[in-house]
Amino acid sequence: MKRIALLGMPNTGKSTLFNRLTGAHAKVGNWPGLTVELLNARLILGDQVVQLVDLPGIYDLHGFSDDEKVVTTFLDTQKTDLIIFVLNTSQYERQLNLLSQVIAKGIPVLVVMNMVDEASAMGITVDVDTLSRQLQIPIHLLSAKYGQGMERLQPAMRQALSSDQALLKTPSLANIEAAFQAAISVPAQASNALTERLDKVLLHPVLGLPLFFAVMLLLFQGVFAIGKPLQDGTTWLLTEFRSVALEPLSAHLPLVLHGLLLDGVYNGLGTVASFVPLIVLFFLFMGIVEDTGYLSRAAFLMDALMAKFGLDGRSFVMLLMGFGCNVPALMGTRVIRSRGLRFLTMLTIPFSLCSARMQVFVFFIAALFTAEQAPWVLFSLYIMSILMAIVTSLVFKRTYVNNDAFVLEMPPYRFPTVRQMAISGWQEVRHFLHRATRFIVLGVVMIWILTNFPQGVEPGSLDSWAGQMGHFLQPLLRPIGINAELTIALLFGFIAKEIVIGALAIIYGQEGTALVHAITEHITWIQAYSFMLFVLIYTPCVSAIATIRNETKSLKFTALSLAWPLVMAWLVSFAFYQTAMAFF
Amino acid sequence: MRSFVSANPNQTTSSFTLEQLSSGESGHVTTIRVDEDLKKRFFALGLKEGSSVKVLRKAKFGGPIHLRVGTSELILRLKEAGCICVATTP
Repeated sequence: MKRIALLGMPNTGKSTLFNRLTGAHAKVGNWPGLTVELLNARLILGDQVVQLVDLPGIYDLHGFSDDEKVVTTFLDTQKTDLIIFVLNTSQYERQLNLLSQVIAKGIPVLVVMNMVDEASAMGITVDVDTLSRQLQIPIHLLSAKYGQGMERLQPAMRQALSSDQALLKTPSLANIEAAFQAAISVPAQASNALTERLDKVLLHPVLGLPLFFAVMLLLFQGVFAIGKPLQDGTTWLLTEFRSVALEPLSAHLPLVLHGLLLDGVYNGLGTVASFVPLIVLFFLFMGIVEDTGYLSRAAFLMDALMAKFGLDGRSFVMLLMGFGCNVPALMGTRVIRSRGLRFLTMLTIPFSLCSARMQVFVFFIAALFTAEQAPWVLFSLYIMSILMAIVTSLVFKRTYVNNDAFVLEMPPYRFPTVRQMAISGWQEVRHFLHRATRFIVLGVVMIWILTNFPQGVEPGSLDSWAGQMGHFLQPLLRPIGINAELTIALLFGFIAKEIVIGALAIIYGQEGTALVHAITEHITWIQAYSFMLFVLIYTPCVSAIATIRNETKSLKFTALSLAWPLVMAWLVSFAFYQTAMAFF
Repeated sequence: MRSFVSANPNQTTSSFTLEQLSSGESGHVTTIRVDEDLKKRFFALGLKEGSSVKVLRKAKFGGPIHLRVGTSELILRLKEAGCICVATTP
């Protein structure tokens, strides 16, 4: 099977073109000798099937960043039959050096001049035929976003694959530049008027930041306003499916297997599945903001403040994404080139108070505080979340030093099409499920075993293995006001914070208002706040840890990102509990 | 406030670093004094000796500087901007 690689700079619409060509059939694959996963897909091209690989966007083939090493290693080790070089037409000049490096590789090249819609809006015209003849390289004008010119790309790819494109001599950079300059005419005042007008407002010296926070607030509100009913609906569907179909079907199974499959695996996976609507919406909204180019503006606005904590504007954007869910935020740090800065950012992200933790807090606050106190208690936890991120970055900024210059491209504002949003949303869902299911299945099975064995015990009771562990950990957790029952819930919380409340329901054997009653009977508000502080700060969840392990490939760093929040959580809860007990 | 990098009284253009320009001012790059790797990244973003630049705005509290270079826009910190010399036309 012949292999075609997509190559180009960031912000050239490479991924949009990849999605255009492959639909939503791409899958992530591992490559021998490469440490990252690359998107690839099979593509029918006339009478043959080819493999299309999306390489990461790079600026230079001879650079030293992780992404650049990935691309050069790929081209050196994987036989590639054709490179599709994607170019942003309106900024062609600064991409020609990379093009000349790619041509020098000796692999047949097909040049795609993308974003022709933007270029013609700026009054830029291209004489493709002359250019193509001059360079002896097939060149193709298109807009991957709107599909303009797409119908002629596949024949061009087929032709490029079949013809032996042997260049008589490799053109020099000067030749390439001369040919492009001759074939492309750019008006003297080529700039994006809409972007300029928008930036005047959105990057306003005084209004810029308040506007940004207002937009973000609206985004989170939107995710929860639309997502919560969808989540409740999913939960209802899953419960119904269990009682209508699964219960009767599995009635004849042995009791242990029945419990393991339904109370363990099904309920555990159901918890993950019920979060899919929220995650999809979150990704979709964040994706829109990202595609418009607004996040680069946020980085511009916040960089000065973040520099004081050893972070930069991009770290801020990721911390912000963490308030929805830590996992995508951790993956988003890939754009950071400096390993030190990337690790420092990854160490702070788990302190962002994610939506799962918020559910636990809302439950406890409603049970133990008055309606007037409630918003302030929740607010104090958000403050604590930000404080923890700041303290962590101040402590570790000398260990994980940011040695990278902060240079960032500011793309013009772009508005994604519905098709683009649908495809990228779908891809994110698949990635999320792929990530989550592996660990959740293992986790829920473990929890089920821990709470149901040794045989014959009341599930979740203090006699079960989990109960014994809770009891065993009491010397450590009693000083921070966490009793044996809450300890079991904390152990559950390691898997996912969403399970904490459900775990308490099993442990106390109560549901709904009866559970609230049981909790107010058994714990004081001081214990509850100490518990919430602990839940906020300690290890976020198995998925986050797995993501950190996956992204860093470092066991040592993963261990640190597990241990540091645990220690901090204990210290903060201890300080709070002991002080509060002395006063009240 | 401004210091001349090369004070030549016969020259009609004045030389500053990019950091010293205020928003709205433009010029062209004369020299870039950074290491090879960063120079390559600048180059890939269109920032090289001879390219014309315009300072669009500067962030508050010593934050980054927003530039237009040719048809591209980019942001960089003052530290890096201080390594880029530009000649402005009065």
